[in-house]
Amino acid sequence: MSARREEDRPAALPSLSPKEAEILAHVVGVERFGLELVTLSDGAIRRGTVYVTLGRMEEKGFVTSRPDPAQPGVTLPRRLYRATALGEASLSARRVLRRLVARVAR
Amino acid sequence: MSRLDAVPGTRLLAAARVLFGEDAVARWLEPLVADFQAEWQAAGAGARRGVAWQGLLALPGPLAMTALRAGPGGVVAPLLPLLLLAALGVRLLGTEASPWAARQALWLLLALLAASVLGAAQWRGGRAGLLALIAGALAAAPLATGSAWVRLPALGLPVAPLELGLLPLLAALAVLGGEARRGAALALGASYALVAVRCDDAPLAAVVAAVTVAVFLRPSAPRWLHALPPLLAVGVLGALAGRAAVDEAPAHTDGVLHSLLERGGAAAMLLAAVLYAVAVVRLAQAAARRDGTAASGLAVASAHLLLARAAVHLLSIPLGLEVGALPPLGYGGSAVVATFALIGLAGGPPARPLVAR
Repeated sequence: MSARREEDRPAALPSLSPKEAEILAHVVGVERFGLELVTLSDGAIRRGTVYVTLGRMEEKGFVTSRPDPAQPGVTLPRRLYRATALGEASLSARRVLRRLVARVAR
Repeated sequence: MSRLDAVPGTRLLAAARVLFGEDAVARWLEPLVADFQAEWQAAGAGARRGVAWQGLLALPGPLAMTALRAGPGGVVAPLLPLLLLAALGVRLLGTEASPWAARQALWLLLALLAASVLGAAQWRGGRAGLLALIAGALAAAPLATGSAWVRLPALGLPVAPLELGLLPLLAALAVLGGEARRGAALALGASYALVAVRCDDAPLAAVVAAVTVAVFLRPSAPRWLHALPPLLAVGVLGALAGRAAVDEAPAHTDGVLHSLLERGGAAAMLLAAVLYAVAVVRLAQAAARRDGTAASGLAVASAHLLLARAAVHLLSIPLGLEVGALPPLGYGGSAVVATFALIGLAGGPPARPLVAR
């Protein structure tokens, strides 16, 4: 029997951690900066980890970022983050899966 | 202009760009500094110091990430494991400049170098590469800690502070998740048990080994894996108790009892080694079946080498051999082998659960 061709293999789903999901929920359709996410998450995301998590999410393609053009030039421009289409789709898929699992568990 | 009037973080960023390169700083460090600079500017004069402190407290994670993910422009990241182990080597040499200590320090540096080269080659691969870098540095820990266990009590210092310092790093491995990471952690935790046996001074090491392994086992793990930590701890502690009984037995103790104690201790040590080796080999084989990559194959080979090393070492005890004097089987050898094993195990995200349910 011949080996399975590469294109026949199911594509791996992107992994989305609870913390990444929490961040995504706040940046769907809107741009926010890191400290804003800390405040909005009500303690679920901490100052010490939000930037590392955002950087990782950007590498995974869940969010995209750009410097804030409204920032005065005295300091560095703040970086604004927004969910990508992949991020939105992953978050939606996670929510659907959670609902299904909860229904089965009942 | 007072010191507080200067925008905080500016000099830090300038230094970081030199050390780690523009790209890594822009990705991992600048967002934090930019946020806190904006907060600092918006705050009143009385609140600025508080904002600056908050920024400082948030710094370790992004700074560590910047260092570990530094690009070709950076000068520090490739040397991180090397610097760590060199510091340990210097410390050991500083405590007692005996030929034994010098040899241990040399192995330490070689293991460090291997970890650096392999880690640097792999970290471009993303999270798995980052893990490989951390694991590579950690893989040399048994060597360093093994030496420290021997020396620190003689200096009247607390035993094995290095292990306690490593636990947060092991926890970081757990946070990264994945079956392969758990396998790497298991191998690392179990290697502590071997060092514990070797050093004759290790109730703490046994506990650390058991806790380390337990931390990385999740409820979804198969039952045999759950049974491993207590068995490992019992095996190692039993071995230590057996040895202590032999050592402290009065000279006129019956020869048969003495022999039984000695055999019991050796048997317990062998049990611990077998449990450990079975776990490592099984995980490595599953990793190889999982994706068939060269890294996984290397992990299997390394695990078998580790098994051979453990078996020879433990069998040497009842035979009265000094295995530590044989370089290929010493701590440095196992550190290098463990480096390969850990990097192989961390070589990629699992496509499916590592251990068949």
